[in-house]
Amino acid sequence: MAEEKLRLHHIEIEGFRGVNRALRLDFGDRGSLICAPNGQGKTSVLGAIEWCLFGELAYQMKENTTNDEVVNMHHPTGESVVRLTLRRESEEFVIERTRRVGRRETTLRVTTTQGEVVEGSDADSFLFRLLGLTFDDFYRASFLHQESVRGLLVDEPRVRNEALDRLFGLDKLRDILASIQIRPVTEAIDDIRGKQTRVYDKLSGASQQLEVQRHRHLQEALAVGLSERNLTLDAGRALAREALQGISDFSARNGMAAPEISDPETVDELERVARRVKDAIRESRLNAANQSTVSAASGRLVDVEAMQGTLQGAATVAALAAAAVERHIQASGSDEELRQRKAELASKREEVRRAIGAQEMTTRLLGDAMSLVREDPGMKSCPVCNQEVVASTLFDLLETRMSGVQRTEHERLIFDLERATNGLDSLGRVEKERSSLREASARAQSEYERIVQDAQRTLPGLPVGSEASDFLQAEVNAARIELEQIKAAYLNREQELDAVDQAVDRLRALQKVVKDDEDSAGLEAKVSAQSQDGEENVLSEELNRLASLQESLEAIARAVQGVARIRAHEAIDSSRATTAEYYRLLCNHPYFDRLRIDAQEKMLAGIAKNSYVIRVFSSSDGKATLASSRLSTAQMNCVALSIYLGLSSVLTHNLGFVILDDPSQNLDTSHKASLAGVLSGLLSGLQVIVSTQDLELEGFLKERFGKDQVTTYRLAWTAKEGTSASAA
Amino acid sequence: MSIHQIVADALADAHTDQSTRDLWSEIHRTFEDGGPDAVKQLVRSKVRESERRAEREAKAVRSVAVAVAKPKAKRAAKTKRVAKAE
Repeated sequence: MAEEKLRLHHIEIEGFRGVNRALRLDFGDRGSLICAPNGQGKTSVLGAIEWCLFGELAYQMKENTTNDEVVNMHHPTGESVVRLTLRRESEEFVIERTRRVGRRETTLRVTTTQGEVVEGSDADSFLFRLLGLTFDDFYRASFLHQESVRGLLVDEPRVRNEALDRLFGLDKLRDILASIQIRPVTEAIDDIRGKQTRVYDKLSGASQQLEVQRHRHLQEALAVGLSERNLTLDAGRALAREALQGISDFSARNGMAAPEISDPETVDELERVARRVKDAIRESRLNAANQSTVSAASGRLVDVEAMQGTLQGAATVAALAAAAVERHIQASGSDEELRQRKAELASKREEVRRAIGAQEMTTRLLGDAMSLVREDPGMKSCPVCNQEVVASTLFDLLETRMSGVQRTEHERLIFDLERATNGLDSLGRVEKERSSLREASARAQSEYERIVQDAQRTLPGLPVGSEASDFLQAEVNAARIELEQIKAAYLNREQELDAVDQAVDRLRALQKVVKDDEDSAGLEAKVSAQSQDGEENVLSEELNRLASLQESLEAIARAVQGVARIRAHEAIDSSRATTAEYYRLLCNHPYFDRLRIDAQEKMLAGIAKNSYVIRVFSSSDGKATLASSRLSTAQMNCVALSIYLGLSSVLTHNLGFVILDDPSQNLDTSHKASLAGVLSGLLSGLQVIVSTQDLELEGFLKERFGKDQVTTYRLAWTAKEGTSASAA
Repeated sequence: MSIHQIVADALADAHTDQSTRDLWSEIHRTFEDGGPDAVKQLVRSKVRESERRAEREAKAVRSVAVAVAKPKAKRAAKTKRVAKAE
């Protein structure tokens, strides 16, 4: 009985979406038209009904987490208030919902005829009982939204299926189904299986490698003298103690601090001890090197030997120089002898010179006499002594004398003079040589003395002379002995450290084998745990967990889809006849005059989903076709309207009104007339509220509803004032 | 009857285990609170959790394998000994 259902009486809106200032619309008992061009607030007014009843807007994109798009942005207090009055016979229910901008929650209050006020969650429950349907069902029972129609008009099957799901009230199930994604689970399972295989392979490979490694380490251990029987942790600890004792003893003997190393307990600690002892050995060697006197002693020996060599060289040079002087004296005579010979030669040369002078005087006299005789050949007496002479005889005598004795004598005297002169020159050269040798000897001696003085600064007790050599030899011997002693001490320490070092090497060799054994045992445990049938390892656990998750998700998806399928079939079956009838009336197709919807399951990404096939038939010859492939957009719009109206007529709920938001999109004149006829047919049982921007539809509706049966409002909108309404 | 209850009944009729029914409740609650993306996130987080644990385990096992099998790093050069006696 239509009278027993709830009808819209009036609505008061303020600050809601496009409506800013308070707006009141009184709905007629039969039909109400809300007419305005696009963007004047028709959808806001219809949305206010939806929001007031359910606190949500189905097709509204959320602006932010607090849905501030619900509140008009120019409202002075930033508050939306919608008050909707529903009537059922004598009962009246005032539903008031408010919310402030920036707040998530809305405030709901329901006031009954008796003045009872119900608020909060009680009001939600009260409202659910009062309306008798859910928010989702509201869209298929009472509110044909533009979006519901639009989805049916597109070619894309997925979108059409979604739109039909919405019309059938299955959009939530569909959304849940779409959100249950199994592929990431299967991919993760594949990934972990791959990991498991790779890990197992890696462990097997490592195990084999470890065997080879152990064999090598065993050979190394045997090579350092270890016995295979003793390659145990206890034997390692004994070796470690030996090494620790060795380095401690060495440190004590050499005045060094012993390293503080605790006894090892585990295999890894064996290596720690080995490393620490090695460090201590290195440190000991560095200390020994830093403190060693080997280089000092060695340097001293080198210095003394060098000094010895230098001194010996200088002495030899001085001795050779002195010997050269001595040899010269022996060869050329002493200085006295040289002086004597020089004096003799000088005297001789002087004597010869005088004889030559006398001879030259005689020669001049003889020459004068000969000249005189030659001038006076008849000369009878000497003009000097008056002695009687024969001129020719005298001349011959003079000439004989001149060319004979006188000449011979002269030559002899000249020879003697030259010999004396040469002798003197020779003596001069000898004297020069001696002087030079004496100077060289003096320089060598001076150098030797300087070297001795230098050496005495290093070796104060160094004597001068032949004793210096012995002294230096003694020094060299002492330095050699000292160096040998230091070297012996150093070698001794090195041998001690080498012994400890070798103990550590044995410890390390043993540790490697024992460690290999330990690793091998651990690896074997891991290998067996990671084997494909291993039950206890983490990878298998995670695989099982994911497989269980996959199984659960698949079961849930099947259950959800099962519910969706049943609901779709129920909706289709229950509305089949009325939908077909509305299609016939609305579409008025000259050939395809019947409509049928079939639902089937289709696998999408591994999940079964409802897929709808809308077919139209020709009752004349039974031919059928897919509606979307043969019908025009306007005819498809009629299909959508038929499905909606068919569904809304069979659903059970307490609402006695239907709301259609701009239903004439894409319809031509004849379809609009048909729609107006169909809607007028609903008036007998339902209150019909239609918003439209279509003047043609408005005309048809007024005509079919009857002017006194319809309340018409015209809306206008400004940015600041929002939507205003005037009764037309 | 709510969708949650209808699906839960369907799961019970299909003799699914308790964990599946609990998962459905969790999915439904998550969907109600955060929508489809939240459900996707829920499944992904469960998967990621397993993946992380598996990866950690695989890494641990690999590290054991690598530690025991890889060639040991070359030991530090033996202590350089000071000049020995000639």
